[in-house]
Amino acid sequence: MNAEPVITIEGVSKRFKRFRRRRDRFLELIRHRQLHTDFIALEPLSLTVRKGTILGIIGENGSGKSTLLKLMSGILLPDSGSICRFGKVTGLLELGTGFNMELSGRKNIYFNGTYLGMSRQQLAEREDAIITFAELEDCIDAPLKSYSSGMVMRLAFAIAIHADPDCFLIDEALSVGDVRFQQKCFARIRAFRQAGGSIVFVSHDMNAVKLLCDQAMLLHKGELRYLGSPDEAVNLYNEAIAPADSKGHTISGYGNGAVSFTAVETLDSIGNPVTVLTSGQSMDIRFRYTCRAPTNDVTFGITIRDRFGQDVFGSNGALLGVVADIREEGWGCFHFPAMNIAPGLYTVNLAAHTGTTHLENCFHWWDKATAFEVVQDPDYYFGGHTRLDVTLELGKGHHGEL
Amino acid sequence: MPELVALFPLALRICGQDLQSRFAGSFLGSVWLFIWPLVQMFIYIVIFGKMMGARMPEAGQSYGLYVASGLLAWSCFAQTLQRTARAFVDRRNIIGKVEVDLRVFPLAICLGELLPFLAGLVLLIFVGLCMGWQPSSLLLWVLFTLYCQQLLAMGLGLLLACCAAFARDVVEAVGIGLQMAFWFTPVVYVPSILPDWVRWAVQVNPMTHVTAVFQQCFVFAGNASLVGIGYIAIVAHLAVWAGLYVLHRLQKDIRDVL
Repeated sequence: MNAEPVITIEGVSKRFKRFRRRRDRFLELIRHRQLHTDFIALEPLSLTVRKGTILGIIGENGSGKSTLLKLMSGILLPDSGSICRFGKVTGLLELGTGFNMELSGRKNIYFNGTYLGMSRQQLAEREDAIITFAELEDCIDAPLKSYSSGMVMRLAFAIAIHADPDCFLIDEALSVGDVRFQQKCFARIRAFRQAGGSIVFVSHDMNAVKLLCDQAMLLHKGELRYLGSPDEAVNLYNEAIAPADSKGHTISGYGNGAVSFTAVETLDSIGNPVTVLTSGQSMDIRFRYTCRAPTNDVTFGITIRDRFGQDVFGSNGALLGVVADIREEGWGCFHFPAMNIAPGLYTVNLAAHTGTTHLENCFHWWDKATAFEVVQDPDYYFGGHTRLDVTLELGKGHHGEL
Repeated sequence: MPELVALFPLALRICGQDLQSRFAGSFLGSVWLFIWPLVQMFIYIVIFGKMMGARMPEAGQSYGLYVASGLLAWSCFAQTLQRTARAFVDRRNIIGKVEVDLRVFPLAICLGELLPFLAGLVLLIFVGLCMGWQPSSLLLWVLFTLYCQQLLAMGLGLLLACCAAFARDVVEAVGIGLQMAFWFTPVVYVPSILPDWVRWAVQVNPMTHVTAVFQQCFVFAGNASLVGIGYIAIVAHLAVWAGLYVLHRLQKDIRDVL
């Protein structure tokens, strides 16, 4: 971890002046009275990006992630502190700077390349590689306005990736072209990193942060909350974004209230509260309930939904053969020995009712009672929604049963 | 200043790209650069020279040349100033996306405007030769004046560009200001016809001395006023210094608001 630094930031802070009216800026000059309010985008922070490392920046919207990236790239200047860049830093923040739609793709390589700090000679050398990477051999001499938006993005990305910097700054997910081209981009970025390049990237994709980063920082309202291991940063982030009600203070939902939930939590195999788990790990979803009147044949149900609101799994006591007559408050626990679902964000709904559905007698239906995130198991990659048990057998010759 | 010189290669590239962008999609391309001065020259020399020359005793028969030479300097200055004033506003999509030295854009504009100027200068020399004008060492002073004039335009332009970043109104106001300044510069008239109360204002205007050098060179074949040239040089360098200083002070805020 003690490689040479690429970017060092010391005590850098940034605030923007906010004027209520445009003319206040000038009145302030004349009257010597403060008419603006400061919006603090970044509290003083220090960090070092070292050679060959990937730093992830996470945080809610407006936490100062992009401002920090702009400061690193030199687009904005800090109010205090200093930023030293050793070597070339290229932003993949906004692609295609200086593109002119009237001119050919080839000309635009030179236009954009100028602003990415490439010399004419470098551009001439890399021109063919850029065109090949962008897969635009057929139409590189046609004006840019005749390109589809995907083609323009491909060209822009191809130029940027050939800028050959010491550090890339990447903002949000790169959505360039179709899936195949995206994978090509990621492969290229991986190769860049293996060759000793550094990357700073801002992302909302916790999965990517955990998988790719050596280090992660959590920003909250312009303040550095955490800088260190990606796992810890992601956990802190999830804690910060969790809505108040999932922490068990306020509980919403509907139902007649004869039996109602009072709390819910997600626990790992040894009973510690978790919000992030690796695909295939075990998880307990534990809840507490109270009861207003003695109720018979109560069923507790659970539904796990993905981020699109699709049911991934659902079951309940009636289906599992656990039905109870309830007289007083108590608790329950859904135990999942292996959470065999794909990486992603999931929400949990809880229900208390009679019978196999809540349609007849619904005591309490608690939507989005809690949420958790599943991340990729680094030892086992799979595609799709579920992690099915599978083995592969191979043989020689024609002995198969096909 | 040494920093400015270091920006030259980049400025030249941007300036070349500006030209390519400007004529992208046109058939004649950069030929348009020469068509404009040609038409202007024709209007001033043929129409003004023939029709109004008689009323200008000092300029006499060469009134057309008088106007053309003054206008050559003025239009280059005015174009540079006007474009520099909007340099940051027009390039905000670039300034907000990549790291780039803000000074490179005014520099690129100053260099870029030299091209139409040179086209006009060649034409003017050609027309002058046809009308019996003798080239003299004053041409060297013209080149020096040109340098000062562009420096002045860049300095003032920088100041205005900094203001324009905060209030776009400046861009509009520059056009009006230039119109007024034009009439305080002896381009279409000779200074001697002025009443005393405006003469001092015209004398203070550095562009008066710039056009004077051009007019001396192409029309009167007299001597350049060293005082005038000295005055231009000082004002121009002061303007650039002021422009760069203000930019340096406001750079952070300019980047924030763009």
